[in-house]
Amino acid sequence: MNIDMGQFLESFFEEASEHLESMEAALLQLESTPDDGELLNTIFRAAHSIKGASSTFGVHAVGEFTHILESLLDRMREGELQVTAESTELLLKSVDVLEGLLSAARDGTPEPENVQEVAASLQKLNGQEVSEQPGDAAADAESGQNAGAGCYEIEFKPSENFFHFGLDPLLLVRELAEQGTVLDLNVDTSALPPLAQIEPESSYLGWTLTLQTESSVEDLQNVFMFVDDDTVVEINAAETPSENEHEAEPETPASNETDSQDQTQSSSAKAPKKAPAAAGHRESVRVNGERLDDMINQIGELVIGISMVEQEWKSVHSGTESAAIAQLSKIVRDLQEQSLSLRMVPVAATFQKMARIVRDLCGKLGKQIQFEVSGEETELDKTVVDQIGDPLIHMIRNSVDHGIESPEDRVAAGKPATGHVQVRAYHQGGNIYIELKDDGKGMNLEAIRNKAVERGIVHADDKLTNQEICDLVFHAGLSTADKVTDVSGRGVGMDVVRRNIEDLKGSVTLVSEPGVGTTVTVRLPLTLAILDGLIVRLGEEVYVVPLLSVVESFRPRAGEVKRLANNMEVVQVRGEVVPIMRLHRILNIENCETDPSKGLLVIVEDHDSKFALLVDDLIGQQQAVIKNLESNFRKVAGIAGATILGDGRVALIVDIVGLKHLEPAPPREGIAVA
Amino acid sequence: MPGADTFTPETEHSADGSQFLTFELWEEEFGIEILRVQEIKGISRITPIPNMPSYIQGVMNLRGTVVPIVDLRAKFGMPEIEYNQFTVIIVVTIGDKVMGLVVDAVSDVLNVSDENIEGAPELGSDADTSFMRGIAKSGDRLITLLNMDRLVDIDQTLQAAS
Repeated sequence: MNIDMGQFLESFFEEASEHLESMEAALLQLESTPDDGELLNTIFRAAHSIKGASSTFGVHAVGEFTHILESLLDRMREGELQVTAESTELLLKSVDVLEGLLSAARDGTPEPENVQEVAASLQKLNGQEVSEQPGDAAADAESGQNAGAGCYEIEFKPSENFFHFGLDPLLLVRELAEQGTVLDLNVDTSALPPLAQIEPESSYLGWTLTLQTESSVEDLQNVFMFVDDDTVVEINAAETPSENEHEAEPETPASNETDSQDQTQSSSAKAPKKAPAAAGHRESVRVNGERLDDMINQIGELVIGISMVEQEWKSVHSGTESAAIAQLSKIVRDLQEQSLSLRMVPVAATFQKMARIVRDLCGKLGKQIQFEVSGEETELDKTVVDQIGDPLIHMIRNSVDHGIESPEDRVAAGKPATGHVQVRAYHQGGNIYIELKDDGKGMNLEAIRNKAVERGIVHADDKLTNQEICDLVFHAGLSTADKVTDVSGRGVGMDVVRRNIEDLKGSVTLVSEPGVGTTVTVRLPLTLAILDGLIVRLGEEVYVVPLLSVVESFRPRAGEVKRLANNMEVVQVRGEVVPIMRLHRILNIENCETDPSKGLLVIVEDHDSKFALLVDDLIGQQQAVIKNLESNFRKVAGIAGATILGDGRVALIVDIVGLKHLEPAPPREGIAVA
Repeated sequence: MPGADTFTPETEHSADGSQFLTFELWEEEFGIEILRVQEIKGISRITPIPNMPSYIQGVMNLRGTVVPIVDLRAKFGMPEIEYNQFTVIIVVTIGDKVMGLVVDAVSDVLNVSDENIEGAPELGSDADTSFMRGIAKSGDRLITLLNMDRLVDIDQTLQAAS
């Protein structure tokens, strides 16, 4: 039978990396609470799921490794092995190895070098403890009929769609056989239709088998962990047959030695044989991201379509409203909001990566740091979460490497030896903020200033406030690390961090107080798909200005606009001198208002500067679904993208940061005359 | 299948030739591969893009997709005309991109066998013929066949230069 495994494989890899993530999270928690049995269970379940799925999908390297890992975890779970700092360290290493093995299987990257080494350490840890156990595991396994052995009648009737889930009943039956001795096996062919009606991809057979095993009902249930809900699995205790019958059984499957060892050990712990609750429904559905985006796009079109209907209605019915259209429009807008929320994912996974890095760095640098996380359930657009990871990790490295002092230095400075690094995420006013706070030594403002002077970024005589000096760290070409360490200072500076964040339409600020600590705050938009826009008119054209950048807009009185040298025009806004940018000149649009006192000035703010855009008029405010121009065309300087207005025409969205680089526009005849 | 034989000659015929959509520009006939053509649209509202060469007319809303529009007359340095009722936009796909081409009028769909296509003539250094795929002869008509990929290439060169 041939099933295209490609699509299943992809979801296997995705699920496996999720399991790894939860393993890692639980391991990190386990460090502080080594006695928490539930955490061990979580780790075990994750390892078990990976093992089961990887064998099914033929990713044997992963399967074998997880098997070793699982054996060890099982014993820890049963309390036979103590959770120690070394074992946690080793388990974390195993997570890394598994990650490497998975990416090797998926992308063909080389397998991690330390697979054998880590596997050997795991086995050693497991083996060492075995010898200390009084129970004679080997003997038990050989006898096969020790006191713990039970006999079960297992009815297994796969659902018709069984194969569609990428499952193979044979594998499961084999796995059962590995758990013990199959005494009796019957095939139920009653559901088998006549040959002509057989669907090759449907499953019709059922099996009833009698199994003698030391495994608990739970262990047997675990074999069927992955089957779908329509599959019938019934496990009932049966009477133990006589010895003779057992020996008469012709096909005793050779059981894997390690496996039987495991079983013996777990049976000796006598897990209570209660019927486990039916595996809860997973309340999530995996959807291809592209399909999701297509749908969100389509719904965006629907919103535009509705507003077109609205306008048409108004023009036909002389400005009256239609209750039906209003209702429809509300439903569609709600639908759009919901569709956008589908892309939202919590930042927890990113935070967890940070926790791991803090932990590893502490070991490496000999620092003591308590890492606190809050608001990890805060949700952000998937694209934003994917792209914010690297900048955040860069900053957390900075905090640990340069921010937090060594325990000795901290004590000498009168602080507790253990440093604090805090990461929190929260909502505020339509934005998401991620705040990174440490109580380290803060920035050496004097050093930053000196460096900036040395590099010619600021003048030696310039008077800078502390905040202005802090902002300098985002300047390209200013690495403040006195020495380049393995951890940070390798060229990727804060300027890259800022650029990445700005690409996500966010911003970043840094506040540092010497001796007290540093706080970095990252502001991110909830979503990248929609933007609140101010619609402005320029001649016959309509442009969208991102509302986030807009500070205010006003019409200057005649004479308020002053001309400086180089034809630079400025206007005073409450004492602040703001340069004017003639948008029509930069964008080269004809028939525009050239007299500022007849047009409007829109004051916009980039992270470090304000300027005024001269436009003809304001038309309104609208949520714009962003369409990028690159998908069919290419990037256009000064333009961030396009959107489709209510009347169906395309309006371009201006890129505030990009506009600045377009200035000064090449001088054009006839405009410079005042 | 009994019907298969009757279809064979037809299939063979189009296998060694290609179908072209022909259109008019400045009283000359041009052709593009029909497989590249997604649809033909009347002129609708085009939003200009700032600081673009004159042949980039702007962008258009094609059922929710923002599609760039190239005026082929401007592209080939032909005199401008007012758009009229015959002016159409041929929407073509080039790789994974969609683009609209403004032409004077569409003519018809033409089957041209390979032997009736001649290579693009070399006209000295000042005539760029790289966007020509060849010249098709059909009766006494001569049709310039365009190489869509080269048309895009030119844009990319321009992008690199800017």
